[in-house]
Amino acid sequence: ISAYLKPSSPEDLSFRWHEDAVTVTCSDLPYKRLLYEIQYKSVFDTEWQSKEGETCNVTMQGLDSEKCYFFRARVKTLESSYGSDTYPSDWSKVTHQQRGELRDSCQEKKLFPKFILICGMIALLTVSLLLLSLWKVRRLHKCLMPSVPDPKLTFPGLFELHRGNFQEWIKDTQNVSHVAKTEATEQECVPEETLVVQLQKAEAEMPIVTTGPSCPPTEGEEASRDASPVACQPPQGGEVVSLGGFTFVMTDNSYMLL
Amino acid sequence: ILPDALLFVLSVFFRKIFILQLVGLVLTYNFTDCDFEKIRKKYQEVIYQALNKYMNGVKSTEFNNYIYCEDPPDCLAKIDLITFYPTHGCTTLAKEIFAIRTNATLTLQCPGYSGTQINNTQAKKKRKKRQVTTNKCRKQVSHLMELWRRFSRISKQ
Repeated sequence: ISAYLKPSSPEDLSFRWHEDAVTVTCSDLPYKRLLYEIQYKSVFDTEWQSKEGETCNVTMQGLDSEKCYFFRARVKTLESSYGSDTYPSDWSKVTHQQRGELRDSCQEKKLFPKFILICGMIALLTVSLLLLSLWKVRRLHKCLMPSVPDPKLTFPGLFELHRGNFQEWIKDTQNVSHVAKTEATEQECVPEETLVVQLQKAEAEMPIVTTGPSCPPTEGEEASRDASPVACQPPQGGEVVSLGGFTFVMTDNSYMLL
Repeated sequence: ILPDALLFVLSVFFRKIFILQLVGLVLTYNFTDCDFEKIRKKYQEVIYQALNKYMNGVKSTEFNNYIYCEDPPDCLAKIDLITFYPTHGCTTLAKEIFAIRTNATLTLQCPGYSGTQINNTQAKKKRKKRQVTTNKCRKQVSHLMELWRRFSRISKQ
């Protein structure tokens, strides 16, 4: 009974090269009317090419012996001798041939993992350099364009407790008396006089050092009326502010209301 | 006197016919001297396709093909018998294309094989319309295919 027959796979393929042709041979199976199919492809081919023979002695033409080729073989039955209900054998082990010699594998296979590794490392390196430059740029950005300081930090409680009302804040924190509202001109002057008085009080408490070209006298009236600059020793810890002919010494505890 | 003479003639006539038929039965063709390789090639090239076409897609494995031939002459003898001699349910396959090709191949490759056997048989019988392919005939042909396959496997290359 020949139906459902499956021949065994061919083994021990041998190759004989002659210029651009190769003859593949193997041991014939002890049955007649079989077809020996040899498939081959180079590293540049995507599909297998096939050639059959009634014996395991098949010659393929038009091959380039310099290229690396893959070869495999199997056995099929002739339908007219065994019917249509048979199976081809399994493929033999793939053999590699280049320049008439047996190879463990074709070069492309060897390069492939190395190529992937190199590409992966380059990609990793590029990403790392990108991240590093990004971090540096951010730092530089912070250095060149510092963010605007939040007044909340300089004046604690100004916005939370006094809703931005600086006078209220001053009153609360610096123990400054509230200035009563009078005529507009007098209002303009009164705060200055008050300021002068306040400055006097402040200066009495702590030493004032000015960093400006001139420093006002400690007497407040003389400071407001005397237009000519008076040379004196600069006080410590304060800045000199000149405004409309008037000169003021500013400390950390003083402020100017215009 | 006439009835005796008539009886004598008739008995001689029927005796001869009987003897001839007996001789025909006994002296079947011996396929030993055929060119088996050429017959095998002809089978692969032309006869196989005709048999397949007759079966029309029906697989031979659907029938119980327990048929066997010992050697190439035995295979050809059985092929000859099934192809050209009628059986119950399938009177004759001799008119089919595969049969005509088989006859031509055997006539050409077997010295002394007489293809006229078929012609004589057909000439004597009435002309029939091409009989409808019955399951019985398909079974016959599947046996034929099995014999041909066996023949192609065992014939020397």
